Amino acid sequence: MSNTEEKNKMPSGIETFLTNLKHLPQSFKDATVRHGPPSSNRAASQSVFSNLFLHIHSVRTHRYNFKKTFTMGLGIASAASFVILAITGILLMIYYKPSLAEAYNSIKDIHFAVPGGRLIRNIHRWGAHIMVAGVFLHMVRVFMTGSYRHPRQFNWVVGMILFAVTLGLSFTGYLLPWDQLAYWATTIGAQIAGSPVEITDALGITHIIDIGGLQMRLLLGADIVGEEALVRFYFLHCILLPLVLTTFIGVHFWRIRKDGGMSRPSVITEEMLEGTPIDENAEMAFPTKNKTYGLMCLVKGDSNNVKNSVKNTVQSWPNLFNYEMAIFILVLAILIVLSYVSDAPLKEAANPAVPENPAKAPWYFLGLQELVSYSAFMGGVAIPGLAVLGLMLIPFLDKTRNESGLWFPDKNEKSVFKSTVIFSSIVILATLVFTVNFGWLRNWFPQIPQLIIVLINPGTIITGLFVWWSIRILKNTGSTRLGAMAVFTCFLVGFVILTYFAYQHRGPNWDFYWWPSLWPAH
Amino acid sequence: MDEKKDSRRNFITKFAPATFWGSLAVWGGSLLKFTMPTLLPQESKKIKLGMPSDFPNGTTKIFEKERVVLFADDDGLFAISTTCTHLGCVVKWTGRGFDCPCHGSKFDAQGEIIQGPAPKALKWFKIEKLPSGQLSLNLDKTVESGVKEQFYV
Ligand code: HEM
Ligand code: FES
Repeated sequence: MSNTEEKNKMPSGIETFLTNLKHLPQSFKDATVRHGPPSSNRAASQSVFSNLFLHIHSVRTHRYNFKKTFTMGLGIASAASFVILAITGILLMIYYKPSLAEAYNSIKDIHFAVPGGRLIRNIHRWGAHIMVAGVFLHMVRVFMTGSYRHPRQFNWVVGMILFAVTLGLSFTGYLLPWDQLAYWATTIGAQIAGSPVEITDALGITHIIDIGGLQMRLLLGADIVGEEALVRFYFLHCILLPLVLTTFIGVHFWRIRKDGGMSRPSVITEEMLEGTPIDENAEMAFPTKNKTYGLMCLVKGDSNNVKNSVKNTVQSWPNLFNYEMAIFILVLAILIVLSYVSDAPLKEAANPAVPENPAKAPWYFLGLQELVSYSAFMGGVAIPGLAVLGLMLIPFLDKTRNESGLWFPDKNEKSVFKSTVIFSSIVILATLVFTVNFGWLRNWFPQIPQLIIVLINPGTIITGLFVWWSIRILKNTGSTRLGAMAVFTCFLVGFVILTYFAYQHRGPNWDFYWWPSLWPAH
Repeated sequence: MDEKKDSRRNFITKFAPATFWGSLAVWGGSLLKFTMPTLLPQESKKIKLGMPSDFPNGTTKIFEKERVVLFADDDGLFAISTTCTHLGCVVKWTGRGFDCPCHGSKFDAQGEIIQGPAPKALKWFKIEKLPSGQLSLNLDKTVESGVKEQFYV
């Protein structure tokens, strides 16, 4: 009766199920995409802020950020190479075995037997080079464009951490193949960590506090580079450091947004924006022309977001994402080409009895290796420590509020840059020529106490002259920015020349040679 | 609000986080301790050499794996480490002295520094006579540079 009639009208469970099943593709799409295709500005904005991975971007991006000569895409390129390294690294982990008996052979297998293994390994190796170079150049551009200034001081410090962790990843990865190159570079690196004994020995207090030995044992898990060291390096390289790097990259990107997006000059003319995408309707993107308040008004201090107008902005989707994808593809293409052209090196298996001669570190550590060849502690710990500390403190010691986001906004910056390049090149070249030709204190006074050599050696003399020069610039110009420009340029030139010199002109026994082809056969 | 209550609240609001961070620091410290190796892997650090008569005057014997060179001269036997005191590379015996391939340190035939960044002379190891009359090189014990042992009577 009526009861059964009603029952007939109600769809049975099975029917509902079948209808849902029929609509499954559509409802799955609705749940995943959540909004229409990003054809309208509104939908495009929604795509950005409702997606975890995209929402780290602003919905709209200032046109100035697309100016190719501003950032040169170097930050994105660093991030892209890290993503590529992570992917290839995970693949390598499938075959790599972190033990003394197997490490070398497993790399050999990857290189010669595993299908595609050589390509993956080459991309990983080249990726490391490109990432270090990318991060370094990115730092140069941030400094040169004055983008570390208020309110970005903190992000500059985060950047320095990223720089250090990037180098740490390279250093720990270098050991894993367990070939001659790996073994001896790591032996030297670990001994550098242990080099504070040079100081504690000279003071005669090593038996009370042995900082060097402590650091070295922490790194190696032993007194020698062996199985324990390999396991520790594997763990650092594959787990700890990538996690730390990923976390800090997250903080870095978050800070970019919280600091009001990328730095840019206060006055931007139409000429400066040539070649960047345009949105004719930018002014209408938000109901109010100029946001004069934000949630930030509840917070103490000034907020950059409030000052930003939507003028000269474009939709991040697709403009910014296209830009990022273009850089990613470019980096990938470069890596693949390099990987076909040149193989990652693999020397003979590690032999603790016979060092590779010369035992050279990867290029970005060669400048350090040159300094270390004067004094282990000064070159390996004190001078690089001073450099990192000095760089890190730049935004706190130079608080000028000049224009950010421009390369060389005034003549003074350019002239200090030029004169510093000339001064520092002369200082370094003169010191190198002198040292190569005449040797150093020990050659003339064999009995000289070690402490004097630690304090007075080519490395400390170069550093001292750099400091003197920067203070002079600071005094003469009365500008902390120009002082910082001098410090940074000295660092840059020092890095470049020392790296080149050690790469090209140091041969067996760390002797000077004009070309590697002149090395004696051994 | 009376002042006593206020200061008590102040105390609690400061104390609670301090407890948290304090315990975290202690815990973190103990975790750090975990990473410090106490059991250092050790190979046997003694090399059996043979009878004193096996090493006539003028002998030079290189132990590549153990990183030591044994010499015999008029004054007796002595053993010099080939681990560079700079950054741990292996120095090479040239017949007149030791050269380090890594950063160019050079040492004379007694292991004293002639040139380069090495902070100290090469180590000398102790040579011991076992009850059997055999000689043994003890890599755990160093002696002053220049200490040569006479074993033949
Ligand atoms: C793993 C390493 C790093 C990655 C992936 C990374 C990524 C990025 C990206 C994508 C940007 C956006 C703009 C651009 O492309 O320039 C940026 C901006 C920035 N980076 Fe980095 N970075 C890294 C290391 C560093 C280092 C070493 C420093 C300096 C010590 C630094 C300081 C900054 C600062 C201050 C900004 C804001 C610049 C501005 O607003 O103009 N970063 N970073
Ligand atoms: S390790 Fe011998 S000179 Fe550096």
